[in-house]
Amino acid sequence: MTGVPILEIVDLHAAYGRIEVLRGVDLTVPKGAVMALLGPNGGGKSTLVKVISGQKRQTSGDIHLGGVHVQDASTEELARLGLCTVPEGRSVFPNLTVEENLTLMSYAGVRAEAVLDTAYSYFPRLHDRRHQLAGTMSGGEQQMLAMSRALASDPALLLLDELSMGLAPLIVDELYETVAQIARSGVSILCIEQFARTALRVSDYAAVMTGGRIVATGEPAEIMDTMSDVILGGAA
Amino acid sequence: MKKILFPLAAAALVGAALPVSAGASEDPAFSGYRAVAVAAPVKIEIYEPTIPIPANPQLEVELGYTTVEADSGSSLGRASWLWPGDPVGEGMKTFVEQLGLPPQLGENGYPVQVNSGQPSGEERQADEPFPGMVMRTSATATKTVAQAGFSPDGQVGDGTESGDEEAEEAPNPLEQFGQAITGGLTTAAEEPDEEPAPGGTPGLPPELAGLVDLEGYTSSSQNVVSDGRVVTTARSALGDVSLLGGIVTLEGLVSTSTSTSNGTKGTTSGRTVLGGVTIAGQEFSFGPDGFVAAGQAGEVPPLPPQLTDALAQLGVRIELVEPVRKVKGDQAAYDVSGLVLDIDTSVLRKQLDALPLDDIIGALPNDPPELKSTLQALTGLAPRVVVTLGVASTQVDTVQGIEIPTEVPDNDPGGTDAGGGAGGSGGVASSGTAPAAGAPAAAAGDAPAAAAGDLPPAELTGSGLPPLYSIPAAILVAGIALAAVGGTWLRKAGVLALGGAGSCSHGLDSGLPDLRKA
Repeated sequence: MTGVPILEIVDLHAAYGRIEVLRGVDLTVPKGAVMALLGPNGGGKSTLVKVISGQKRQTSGDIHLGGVHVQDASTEELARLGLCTVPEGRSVFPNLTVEENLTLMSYAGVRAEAVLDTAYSYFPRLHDRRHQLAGTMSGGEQQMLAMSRALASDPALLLLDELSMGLAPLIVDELYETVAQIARSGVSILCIEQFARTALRVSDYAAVMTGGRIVATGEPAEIMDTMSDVILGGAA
Repeated sequence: MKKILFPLAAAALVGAALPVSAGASEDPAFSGYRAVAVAAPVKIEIYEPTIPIPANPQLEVELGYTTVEADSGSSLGRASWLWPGDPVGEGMKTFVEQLGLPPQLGENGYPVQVNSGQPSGEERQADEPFPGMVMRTSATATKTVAQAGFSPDGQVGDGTESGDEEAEEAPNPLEQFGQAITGGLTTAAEEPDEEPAPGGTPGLPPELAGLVDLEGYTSSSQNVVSDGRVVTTARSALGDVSLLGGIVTLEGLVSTSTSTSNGTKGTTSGRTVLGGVTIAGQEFSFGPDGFVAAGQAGEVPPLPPQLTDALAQLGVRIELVEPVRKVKGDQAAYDVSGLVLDIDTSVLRKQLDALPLDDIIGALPNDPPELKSTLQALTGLAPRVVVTLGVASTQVDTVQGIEIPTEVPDNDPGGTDAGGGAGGSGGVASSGTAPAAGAPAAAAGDAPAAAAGDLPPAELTGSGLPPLYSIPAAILVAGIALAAVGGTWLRKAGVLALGGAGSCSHGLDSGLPDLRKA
């Protein structure tokens, strides 16, 4: 794996009460790369995202962002610095329209027109739905809206947690096409996913996580050849 | 002149009245809604954790599955006479990919289904490969319907027994008469939907007849929006049902569920009718008031204890499920199911432990190598099978629009003061003129006192200190900037004094980097 790491995780441990979920995670995401983090349910993938994004504190271990050791940073601080998370379950404002959801992101300092332009250029379908209440849209469209909001903050490192959860395969393919498009613009992406083949198609590197540890890293083809039993055992 | 004015006035009056009356009759009490209806006459769920499908239950089959999902912007309808559950039905392409099968198999998704969508997608889709086998759905802005099942005349009940009078077309007496004399069937309402289809349970292999045997089934789901109401309806109907090789038999079962909302209040209706327990013309049913017999409501009667005990030894449990009704404000949800048959095969599986299965499998040849492991896995299976008859579920919810204030509040106090000052000046001017209008003799003493008492604030400042304009704000900003610069220097000085104590064990500096410049 080559390139300057925008994210480096060294021997990271985290626990829920007395139950240790992350048991020494080592992971490196090169700058400008798409890293797919795969693995079965309960492997600790979503917990890792929470620790990286500052929603949960690690019990030990180090997180390096852009070559700097980050400690006890809050979620807001990390978001301002360019680390943006699209959480599991999308979390859009259901009683606001698409346009209102997007306009809310302008408080972060980007003009509302620019936010809307970015969103509609990546997802033209949102333009057709701009006056529709977000809660009444399909799951795929809500995921598009959540990704658009994340892109509005001009992220340098994007964490996508279970992008495909509850979505039809065709929509998942469409979303991953957009992920590839975002990656081409220079944004580094860490993509937590159970749909292994779809995620591996657009990723530069992949890692497999199970039992709170990274058990394999490498290029997508290598991972698919060597770790298919672990990946497919956890997610069909 | 009158000839011109009179028609103009009349036209203006009509023009002003028309839009108001039209708008008043069409405006619903909600700005958006969401409605879901699901119906399945037979639902078979298999819980077996060793099956590598990330869903619970791991396997699922629904016969005569129909569903409608509608909201204020779009609607979707789906009908399938054999639906393998959402994980497999929705994710067929993924399953085909993961199993390494030819990708052409999963390119178009699960094959046994029809879908309609509005505004995107096909407005109407139907698949009726054999006479009587019905899968059809349609979606418009106000009505979405899905129907599936087996009916000799191709008619499947739409389930609108009470919720949607407008959707029902008035029967044509001549057409009815014509059909009657030619032996044809009349309307869908008269035709029993549970008309048995020949040849046993359609869609299921004959080996499963010992578990479930049916004489035809139909289901329909639909959502209708009209006159400011959202009405969503689901209906499941079964013909004669034989469970467990005839231990349990039912002579027909119809479940209906309707949820309605007008934006302010939600209502539900529906019930399950078990045809086989009709006594002397009185039907037994389950509705919102519980078990109904001879027009009297009461608790659900228990099954005979001898039967339940005998079945429990086989790991079989039969349950009559009460409907679940949830109404909260403008939300309404109603879940109805007729009968649940729960088979826990682990009870019978224990009997197999007495057999030397491991020894038998161990004695098999090692080639092919997968044979032994597959057989060992099969002997360890003990799935739980749940068969639910007459599933009908509906839910509806509405949302109110956001009222965006059109009046912008005046947050500029300076502007208000200026206005006040101007008014004050006016007052002064008028007060100044008052003495002139008053008695000239008294004006010499009173007029200057009155003018001094009404002196407005603007004139007071004019006579006192000069206006400060934005000097305090500039001082505040400058202070903050100085503090920021000073703080930065102090931090750098602290880092230098501590000799890099803030760096981590890997030799990197601690802090918060700007990732966009990293």
